[in-house]
Amino acid sequence: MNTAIMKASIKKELWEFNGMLKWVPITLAGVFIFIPLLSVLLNGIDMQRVIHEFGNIAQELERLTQMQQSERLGSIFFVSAIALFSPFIAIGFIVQVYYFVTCLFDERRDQSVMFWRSLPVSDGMTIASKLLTGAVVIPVIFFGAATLLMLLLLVLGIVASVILSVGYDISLWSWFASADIISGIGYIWLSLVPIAIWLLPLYSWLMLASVYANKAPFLWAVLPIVALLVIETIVVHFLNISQPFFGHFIADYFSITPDHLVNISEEQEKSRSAALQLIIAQIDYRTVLVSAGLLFSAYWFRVNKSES
Amino acid sequence: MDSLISITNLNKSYGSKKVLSGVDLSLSAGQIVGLVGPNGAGKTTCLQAILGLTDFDGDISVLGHHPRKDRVKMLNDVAYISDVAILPKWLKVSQALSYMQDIHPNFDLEKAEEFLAKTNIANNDKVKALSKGMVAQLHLALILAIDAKVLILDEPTLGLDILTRRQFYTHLLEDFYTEDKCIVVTTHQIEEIEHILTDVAFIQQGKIVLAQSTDDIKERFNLVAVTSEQVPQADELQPLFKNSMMGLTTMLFDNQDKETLQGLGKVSVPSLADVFVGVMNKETC
Repeated sequence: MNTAIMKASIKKELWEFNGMLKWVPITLAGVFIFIPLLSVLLNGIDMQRVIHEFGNIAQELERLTQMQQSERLGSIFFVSAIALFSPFIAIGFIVQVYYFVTCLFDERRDQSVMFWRSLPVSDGMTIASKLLTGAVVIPVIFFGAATLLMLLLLVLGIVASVILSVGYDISLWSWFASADIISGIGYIWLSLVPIAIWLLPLYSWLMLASVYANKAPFLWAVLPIVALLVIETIVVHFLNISQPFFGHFIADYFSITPDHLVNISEEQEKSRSAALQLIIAQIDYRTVLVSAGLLFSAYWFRVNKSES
Repeated sequence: MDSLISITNLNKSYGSKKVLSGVDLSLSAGQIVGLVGPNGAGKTTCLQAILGLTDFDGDISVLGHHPRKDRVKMLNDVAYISDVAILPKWLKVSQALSYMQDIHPNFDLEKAEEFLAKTNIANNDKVKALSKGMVAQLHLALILAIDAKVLILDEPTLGLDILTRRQFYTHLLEDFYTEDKCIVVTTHQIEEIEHILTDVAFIQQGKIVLAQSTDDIKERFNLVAVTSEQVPQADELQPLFKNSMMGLTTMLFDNQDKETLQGLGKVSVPSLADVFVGVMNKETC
């Protein structure tokens, strides 16, 4: 695979969706920064109360630090980081779904597909670059925005620590050392690739809908699945089959159920890698088979569907 | 002379509808070939088969490549403009240049920039901000900067005003065409490009009904302005096409003796549009 062409193809995707991929994470980060500021500006600020509450939190952190409960401190930081990353991951997922549904449809709608296909870039490369952009590059953008926001908050935390240590004799420096900040953020970043692989069947299906639909690709992405589930439910009901195959397959694959938790040991469950382990546990032969089938179908339609 | 494009017994059907039927064509370096036919004749399908954009029955070789199996390799030396309006609206001129530079081994950035410098198109412009004519110029700049051996143009000036259309073909000749290259062009405005064509292929209902050099066509066909008294005599020679206007009848003859025709009226060289109309009428009759 020619990496220069892959890079150029991904760059092209980022140009096309530049507005969405730039402004959505910036707006989200802005919401996190400006809503608390706006709230303070509108409601006024009771400095005594803020200092009192912040002092309480700081003292509790200092107490935990002195008790050398670094694991708990690390957990506190990790949970905070997850709370900060979650909206970015959720909104990023919506952007990914939008990207996948439109990435092969828009170029056919405006007929620019004829221009792109007149250039020496293979259809396989096009499909691969769009898949990589949607499954990995877009999450990297949103994870990056969340990380930058977290770094900004950490800088503010360091400033607050300086004030506390100088003005109130409360030292949080050892908390910063014990919170495992880098490994906490690292664990979140590590989940990016397993999530991409786990959701590969979904992404592949959306790409297939995008390349197949002549109109309304969102409906093509949703309606066949709904129709299949409804028909299957009716058939199961009338034939008295124990459970619907597709319904069970989809529910089992996309939900992280207690069945899967059994395989995670108690120790791991408590650790920061538990979420990562759960996602990895969902990846199996179904991921490979379904994704391969759907991606090949998307490729086939790209090659053989007449656009003129 | 070796063929750059060789098409043998090309057939293509959409369901039960036969779109191309036994097409044979051979195109060599130095040729500028007009593929001319009425709407639905199969021109675009034929070009798409040459470009590997649709499957087909028969044999096509483009620069020694099979268009379907070696499409990417083939497109290193084949450039294509299907319609001027197909550049995506979100694309900036600078992005288009950068992308072409990144992916095309035969793209000459300086040549494209030189071409664009002669226009009103700025590097930072988006396609959606350009007029249709400017989009055509941008597309042409991108394509002409490719050192391609074969250029395929499918209705490239559709919807453009006459000035832009003329500019387009002037640039094509000045900035792209050399003796070692081959251009295939389909257009409805055959009269506008007939002076640049070296060969034409008329296609009707998926079949090539005439494929010849323009010089041979000018030798082969004759247009005669026949006076009303001579019309019955001229009719006996089975003209391809007859048009009566203001007491004068114009007839198009294929492969008739020039001296005999001169006896019927004033003989002139027909335009390609006249020959096209004549040949199409003959096939329809």
